[in-house]
Amino acid sequence: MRPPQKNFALKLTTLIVVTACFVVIGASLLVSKNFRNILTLWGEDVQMTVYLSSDLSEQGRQDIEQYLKDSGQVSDVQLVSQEKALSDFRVQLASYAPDISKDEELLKLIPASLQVKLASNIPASEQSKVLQNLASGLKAKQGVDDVGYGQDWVEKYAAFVSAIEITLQVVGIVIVLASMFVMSNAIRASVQAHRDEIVVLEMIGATTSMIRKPFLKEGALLGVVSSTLAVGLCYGLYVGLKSLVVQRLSFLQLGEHLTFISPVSVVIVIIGGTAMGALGSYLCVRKINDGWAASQRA
Amino acid sequence: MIEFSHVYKTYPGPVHALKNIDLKIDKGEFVFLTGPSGAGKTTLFKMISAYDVATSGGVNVAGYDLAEIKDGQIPFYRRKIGVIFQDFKLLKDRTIFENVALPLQIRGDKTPAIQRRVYEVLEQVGLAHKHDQYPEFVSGGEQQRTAIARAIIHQPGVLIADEPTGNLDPRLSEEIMDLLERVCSQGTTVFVATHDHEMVKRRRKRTLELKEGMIVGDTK
Repeated sequence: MRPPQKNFALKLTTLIVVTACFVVIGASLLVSKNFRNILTLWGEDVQMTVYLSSDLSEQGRQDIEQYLKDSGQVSDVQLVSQEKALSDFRVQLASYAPDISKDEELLKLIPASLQVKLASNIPASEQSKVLQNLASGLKAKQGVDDVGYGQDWVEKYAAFVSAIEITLQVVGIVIVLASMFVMSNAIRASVQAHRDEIVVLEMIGATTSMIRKPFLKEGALLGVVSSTLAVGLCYGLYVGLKSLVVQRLSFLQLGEHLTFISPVSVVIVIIGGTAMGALGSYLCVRKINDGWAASQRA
Repeated sequence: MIEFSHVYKTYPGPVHALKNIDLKIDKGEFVFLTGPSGAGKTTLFKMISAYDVATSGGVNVAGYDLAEIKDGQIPFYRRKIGVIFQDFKLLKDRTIFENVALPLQIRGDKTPAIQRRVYEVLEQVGLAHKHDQYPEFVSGGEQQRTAIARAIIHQPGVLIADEPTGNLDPRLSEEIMDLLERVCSQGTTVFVATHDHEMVKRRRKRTLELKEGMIVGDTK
């Protein structure tokens, strides 16, 4: 007759708890990444308009364009000539205020401009500062009448992004620490179940490495299996949420911007999980591998 | 085989667990260690099995100077001795065969040699027919015989037993003592700590009495 398999139930429980911890870590990575995607998407609307003097020469305009390109913070510069600006203005106002669109004197006041798009690699939280610097540099240039970039909106957006970034980082650290605590307790309980085995092995002359090796292997196996399962579960979660956003929340137009964590992050989660499992087991075994004293307490 | 010279052991407090212990036990000798709880019996056994070191004095067992032994040498020293506990310390998820085979597996012996030797020792302790049973499903006496088989399978020079009959009834206790005497007759030094004064009297073996950390009697 075999004794009851208490260890199997304990191993299963440990696997479930550790997998749940990795799911929480993976899900927070996923939420954090997609939140950043959405913020970046909103940030792509940030543009700067450089109003040019009516007497600016072609060479002067090219110098300003070159200045913007040389800054390395700009992805695109489009000239909106006075004629184009006039024509757009007429189209926009024709139905609202037809009289104004016919006022030739007023229309002469509309200047040519450069529409500037920021480079996509500039973090959302940095956009306000970059725009401020560019604007102050441009204002000092001859031939620039004014620079506008919706300062209020950009500054509020940047503050919002910064707050979200800090929140995500704090929540992320709390989740990782809490998960590590839960995980280490689960591994400790599993290793404690082998306490008698450790005492006996030590007593009959097993070396420290002989005692620790099986626990390290078991911890690493627990780490790799649970982190892989967690990545799979997170992927399922991602597919489900994406389909919900695409089908039920299509008006948000966010579906195509939702992405899964990168392959590099997946590899890091699995390798990190394996290392955490092995390290957790190692620390627990080291604590209870104290021989006769342990046997006396048992 | 076992030699203590002017051994003192003091724990923080200070608690003087052993005071000026001088003793010599020869190869193949059978010795009882008696004394009330807290007299220092376990401390003495912890030193013999290299789980503790003397505060001062010399301890020499099976040719090893335990005052100077390095951590890395301790497992190899323990392969030269055998230890038996009151609560058997058997692994519940392994059969009697697997429990007894452990010391030889640790030593790296080949499987056929292990099998041969395990059956030989199980015959010796009268458990060959229960080799595939799990410890939970055999009697206390059989569990202790399994523990003895595990302690002697690698033919140690010294066998120490800490209250080996503490959990057994008088009839099983006698069986276990008979078995330990047989082991001793094959050349192993056997050192047994016990509270059972009646049994000690009946066996007429050398007896050391420990009290408040000092040897207060030696029938040698």
